[in-house]
Amino acid sequence: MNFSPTKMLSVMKMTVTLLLVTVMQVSASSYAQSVTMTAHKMPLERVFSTIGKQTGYAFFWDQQVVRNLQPVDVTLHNASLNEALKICLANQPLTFELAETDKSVFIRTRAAERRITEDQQQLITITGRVTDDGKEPLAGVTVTVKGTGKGAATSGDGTYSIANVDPKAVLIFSMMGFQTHEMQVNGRAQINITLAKKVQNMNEVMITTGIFTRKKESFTGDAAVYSGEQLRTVGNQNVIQSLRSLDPAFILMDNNLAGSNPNVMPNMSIRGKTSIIGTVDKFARDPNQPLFIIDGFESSIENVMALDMNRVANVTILKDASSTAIYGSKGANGVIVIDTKLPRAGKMNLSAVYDNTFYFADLRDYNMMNAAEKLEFERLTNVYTPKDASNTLMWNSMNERYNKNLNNVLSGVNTYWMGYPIRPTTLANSYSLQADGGDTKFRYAVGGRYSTLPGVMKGSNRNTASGNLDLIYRPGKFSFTNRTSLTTFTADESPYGSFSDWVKAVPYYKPTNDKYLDYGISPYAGDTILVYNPIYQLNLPKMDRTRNVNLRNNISAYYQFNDHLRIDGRASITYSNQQHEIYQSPQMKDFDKKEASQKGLYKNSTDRGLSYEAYLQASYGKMWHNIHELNLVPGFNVASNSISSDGYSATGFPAIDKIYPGFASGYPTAGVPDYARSVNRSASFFLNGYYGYKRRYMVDAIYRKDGSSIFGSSVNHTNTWTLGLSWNLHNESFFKNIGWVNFLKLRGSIGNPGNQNFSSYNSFTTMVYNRGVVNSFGLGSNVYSWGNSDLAWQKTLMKTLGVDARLLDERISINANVYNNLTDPMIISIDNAPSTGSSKIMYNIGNSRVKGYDVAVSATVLNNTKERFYVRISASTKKETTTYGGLGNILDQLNKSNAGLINSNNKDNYHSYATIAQNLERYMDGGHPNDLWAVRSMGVDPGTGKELYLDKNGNLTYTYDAVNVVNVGNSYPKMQGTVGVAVQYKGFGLNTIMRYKWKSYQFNNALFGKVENLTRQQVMGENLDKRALYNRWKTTGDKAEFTNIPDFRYGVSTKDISMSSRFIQEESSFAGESLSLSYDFYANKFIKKVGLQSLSVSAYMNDFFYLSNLRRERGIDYPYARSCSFKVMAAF
Amino acid sequence: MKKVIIYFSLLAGTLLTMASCKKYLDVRPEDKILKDEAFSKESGFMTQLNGVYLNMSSYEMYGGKMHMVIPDVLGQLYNTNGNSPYNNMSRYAYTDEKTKTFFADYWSNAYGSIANLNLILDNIDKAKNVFTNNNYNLVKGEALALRTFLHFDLMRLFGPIYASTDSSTMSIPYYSYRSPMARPYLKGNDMMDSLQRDITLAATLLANDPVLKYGPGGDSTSNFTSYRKFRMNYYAVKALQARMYLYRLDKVNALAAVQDVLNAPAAYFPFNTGGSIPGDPVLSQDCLFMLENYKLEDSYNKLFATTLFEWNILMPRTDALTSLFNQSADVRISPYRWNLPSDGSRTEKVFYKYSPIITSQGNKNVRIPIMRAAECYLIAAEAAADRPTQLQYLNKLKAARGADLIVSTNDFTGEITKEYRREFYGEGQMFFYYKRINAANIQDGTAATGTVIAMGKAKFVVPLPDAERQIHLPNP
Repeated sequence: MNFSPTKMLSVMKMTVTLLLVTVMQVSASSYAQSVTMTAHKMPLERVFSTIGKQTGYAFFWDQQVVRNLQPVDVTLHNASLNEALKICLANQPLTFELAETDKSVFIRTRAAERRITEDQQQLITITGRVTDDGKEPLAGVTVTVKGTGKGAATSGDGTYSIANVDPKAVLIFSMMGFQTHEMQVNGRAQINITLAKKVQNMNEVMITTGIFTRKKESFTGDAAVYSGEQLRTVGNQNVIQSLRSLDPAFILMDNNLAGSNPNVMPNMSIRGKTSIIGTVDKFARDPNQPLFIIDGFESSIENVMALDMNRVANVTILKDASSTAIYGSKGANGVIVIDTKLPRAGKMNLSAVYDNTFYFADLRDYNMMNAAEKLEFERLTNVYTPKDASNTLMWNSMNERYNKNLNNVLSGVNTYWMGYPIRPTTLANSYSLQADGGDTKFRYAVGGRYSTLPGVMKGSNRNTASGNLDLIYRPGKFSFTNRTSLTTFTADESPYGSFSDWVKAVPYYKPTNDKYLDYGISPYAGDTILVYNPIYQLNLPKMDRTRNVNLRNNISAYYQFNDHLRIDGRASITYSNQQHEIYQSPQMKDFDKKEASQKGLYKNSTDRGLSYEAYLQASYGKMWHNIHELNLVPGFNVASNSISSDGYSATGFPAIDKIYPGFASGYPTAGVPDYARSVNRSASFFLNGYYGYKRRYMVDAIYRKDGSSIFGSSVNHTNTWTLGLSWNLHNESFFKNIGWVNFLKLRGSIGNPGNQNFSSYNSFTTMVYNRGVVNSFGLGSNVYSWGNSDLAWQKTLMKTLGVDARLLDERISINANVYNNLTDPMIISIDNAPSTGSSKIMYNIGNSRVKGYDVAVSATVLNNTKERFYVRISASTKKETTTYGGLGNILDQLNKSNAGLINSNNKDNYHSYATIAQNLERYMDGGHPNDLWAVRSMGVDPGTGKELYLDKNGNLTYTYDAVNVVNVGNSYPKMQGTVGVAVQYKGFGLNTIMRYKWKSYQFNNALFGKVENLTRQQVMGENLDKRALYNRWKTTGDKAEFTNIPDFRYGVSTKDISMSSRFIQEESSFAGESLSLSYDFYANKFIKKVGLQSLSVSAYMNDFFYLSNLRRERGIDYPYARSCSFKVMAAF
Repeated sequence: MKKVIIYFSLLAGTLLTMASCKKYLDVRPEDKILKDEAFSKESGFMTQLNGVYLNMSSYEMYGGKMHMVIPDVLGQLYNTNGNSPYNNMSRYAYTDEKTKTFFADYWSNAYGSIANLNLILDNIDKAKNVFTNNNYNLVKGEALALRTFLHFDLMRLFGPIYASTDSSTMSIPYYSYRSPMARPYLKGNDMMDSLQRDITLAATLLANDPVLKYGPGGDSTSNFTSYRKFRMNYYAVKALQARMYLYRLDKVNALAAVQDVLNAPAAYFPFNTGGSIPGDPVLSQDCLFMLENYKLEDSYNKLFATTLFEWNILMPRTDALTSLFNQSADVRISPYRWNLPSDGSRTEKVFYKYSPIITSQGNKNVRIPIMRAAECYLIAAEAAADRPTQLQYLNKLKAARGADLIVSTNDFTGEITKEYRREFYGEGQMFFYYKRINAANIQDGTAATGTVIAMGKAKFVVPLPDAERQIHLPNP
């Protein structure tokens, strides 16, 4: 019989054993731990009982075996039990086991023992550490046991452990960028190894287009790849913010209106705008927005913004035709491909990230008057003086008002209204937890993130929560991946409304809780005093909240037939639900003039979306004799996106603190429920072919045929093609001798990706039922939109030439591109004669050409691997212009109406920022979308204080006439780019990126609307810029920047509005976009002690300085914010 | 073998995709109706046609601005002085921004409806086989007649003064089909030729109008053929034809066209008698064509209600009303139409014609008279060859309305003018009448009786809206 090899026997097993042994010796009297005895030819059984007696240990043996053995001769003196047994059993085929806690000794035959140990030796546990050439630990190295499914990945300190390995097995160590190493185990339990970096490892960088992957060396397109690590070094807010700093081609537009509102999505462009005046319906996207692909499927910008940055593995920006054409009619604006991390094999890895960000409201650009200055300015403009001075009644009433205000000023009232809606600092938190693990066959990852983002205006918030579950199953040639993600956000708009209202509030009023700050009726109509108290408005119940849930499931599978051929199938399904709720108190000023049944508002609208996308594709790749290389990727794609939205409004609320829709007394007059539904489908075929000769010459071609439900009914397909060529000079024999060139590639591409971001059903004439009315005959229908079935789809012919180089032992890397993109024809929606029955018409006309170049250079100045000391500098620059052509006079009407947008007849809107911006725009051949048009100004005449203009013919005139409007500048910078420095020394890291913009022309809102072009109403009711008081012309000879202070005597008509070049100023700026400091505790021993694999802390500052030669108000409706963040990252 | 299967299934997939692709991409919008789908059955045409009737009955069109406001304010029916939002309009200050908006809306709403009608007319002949019974003729005839009606009203407002040498000057664009590009402006007389061709064709198409056989109730076997008074029926077409002939000063043809209405069976278009007024203050019985608007109360509340701010109410001066209606037996001055507000808020009579009459079924005052038999008598009176016949027609109307008859007069035109004023309060004909006769002076609505405004081309011809002039070049 055999004993169990287990050290500790259970009581049960022990009982069984007891029954089997014939002799049992138990001694309770002696507690000696040493054995002293002399025996001569003593049978073993006696030896055991003797030792048992002395030590108090119970002995268990197999009688049948022991009885047949030779007796022993032994002399022991104070030997330990262990020694004693060893000596006694030295020449016997027996071994023993001491169970100290049970005070038992088990005697076994040696044969049995040997069998057991042999079993154990068959599978061993191997541990070890993987380092690089510089003896630094390498994390994430995949260690697999050759020929089996077993494997593990190295952790942060480079260590790994694999259990149950055959001692004769071979381990494979592999990692991207390093040479794969195979190692015989030969029974070793510890294997430490150093992996060598791959020669020209940069060439192994893979470009992922989202549809196929390709080595960068053999890619003919222009694509930039950024690792998740790079993105996280630059910032911790979101992918978009970090890309902006990293890539020169990626431009994030300043939104001067929305400032840093966390609920407004950014506008961006990669290579200029391909569309100008697109029509955008409820569900359509910004026609200039790039296409986002997350893990192979199209995604919305909201999802990109909500994506946990810690999950990002890498981001690829596809810029030119050769790289974007695979997306056919969607790719013209560029494509941003984001891949999230796949689960790693190994023991469960747990990583936790905590970020916090402080935001600081940036009000430095505001330059508003204080109470005394404001009143003084009012006095200077004579607003308290009637034209008819003999009218004592009026004179007195106005004087009374002045004195009341003066009293306030003298008693020290100086309210800083701007401070009310602002949280000077806010703290945004983000918690992210990810766990992953598994073996080479099956891996999993599960994680979640919760983040809060309070805006700098009180009450504005964006809270995001997301979770993901990724599963991978890879049994050999077949692979199956399922990824599920849930994202939700709640966005609250600030109840404080537009920030501009607070900027305008007059400082000499006390911040009371009354409805009006000042209220009264002067004896003459037209001068009613009615100053709303913004604080009162604020305390009224109101809400503007959006809640969104987005659930996505991606499934992908492939089958690898052999090294050359594989078939891929992928499908994604997304469900989204977004609810937008608004309520407004009946006491708000908007409802002042409404009857009771129409006061107050509750609005609820819900959008539900369901979209799916599926791919089926094959890839074939083969290389013959190391000379000819061929790749073919044919595939199909179908996609469908449907959104339906419904909503209703209710009104007639009681003036109470809480509003629920149930309190409504009815619907708004003529109100009907809203419903809209849009379905877009597309089906496409694509083929990518690649041929490379000796890794020197490469040809890439893409053809894609897109069918979409939104194309015209007579043109329901569109073809996209592209051709790319590249030449790897570094692989040429004549270049091999030039040692300092590691990589040099010239490439060029041409192609015509399209733009599909237009509203649906442009091509059909559609009708809708008359809303909310019937007659004896029932319903009626009316044309909703007149379709144009001949509308051709907007295509962009993109041409790009580029060079990629890496020099001096990979120390310097250069990427430069020149491009010329022609969109012809554009789709333009223009005004139509109303007699045609529709006021707008969609046209195929005109073209726009984007020309430009971008260069990015980075250099490693210092590279000391031993000390972990690196210094890298980088710089990028971009210049771009867009010009219109072929428009003829088709947009004259638009230009004319833009010219007349602000005039003194239309006082309601001439200080509206959006109206002014549109007023400055003109569309004509040779023009630029960002050109600003105004009458040229020669400045203020020191003699008269009046403005001198230059007319079209160059003559001086005092009269403002919109006819003399010319192009006075362009708001797109002549040159812009970034400069960055990255330093690393041991655990410390410093990274900074600064942005410069050179020579852009900006409209100065503050000068136009708060210094000049004032009205009597404005002077009396709104706060103004200090410069209105100090810098305006006063006496003859003043070389003033601004015209004379106007006379707003009651009854005198005011001056006309003039849009002159004086309000459009040249701006050059230099801004600190990102600064980060980090420390990695890799060298500190304590992290091991507390059970961590790695720990790092970082601090970031965004927009930490802003130098500009121009002082203008930024953030009209919502102020800008600077930020400062901290991040702790730990892995367990 | 495996490879063969894979390749085969790929190929099959390709073929399948190609075949079903077109179907897959053919997405029908759910919240909108595709034109081709709608016009694949007769109900689609009927619904589209009814859409135009509903448009026309809205506050923006004949349920308000185009009927009760613009032509009546221009025709000086109301006291719009001081701070009235209509003051600039009544002073013919066509450059005023707010007044411009009124006319721009008039223009775009009328042409918008014309485009909707043209969508029917452009497609109906291709779909003739989807119609049953006489419905094709009815739909086409009504659509054509409505298109003529709308063009003609545009012409009356924006066109030249026809009763002058200007009849051949450029007027407005004429849309005989829906065109995405603006159609050229036509000369006044060419425009009228086109419109007369259309209305003649409409009358032919409506030759079997159920109204002729069954009366205003129509053929009750289907909803579509019932209630002929709420549709552009044969009689309305003839009245419109007469209106257009008289506009061209073609009295002979005007008189001929009007005969069908005057000789219609007595029960078809009887005049309201005293007892019917309380329940029918709009005097709907002699109406040839009315529009229905279940929300007419909203129009009343926006234009005539005493709850409105003083100068926003459309009401005439008290002296104008007294001098116009000197006979209290005239049903048109019935207290159900004109009265002092019961709440005592005003001391002058306000207009109750369109005020809601609440019954257990809700407001039943929802009808807007568009064309009535009364006008046909006035047309006949103007068109008749001699004074006795003229007076005969006029007196027939006067008698029906309970007014004193005229034995003889030296100022027949003056009598006709007064009769237009009495008859068409809130029905948008006054300005068009003045413009048709090219009146040199008209009574000022804001001033005492006898104070007149000197008229002329600048006042009678409303300038085209800016949006049209700026885009639609060259201008007349």
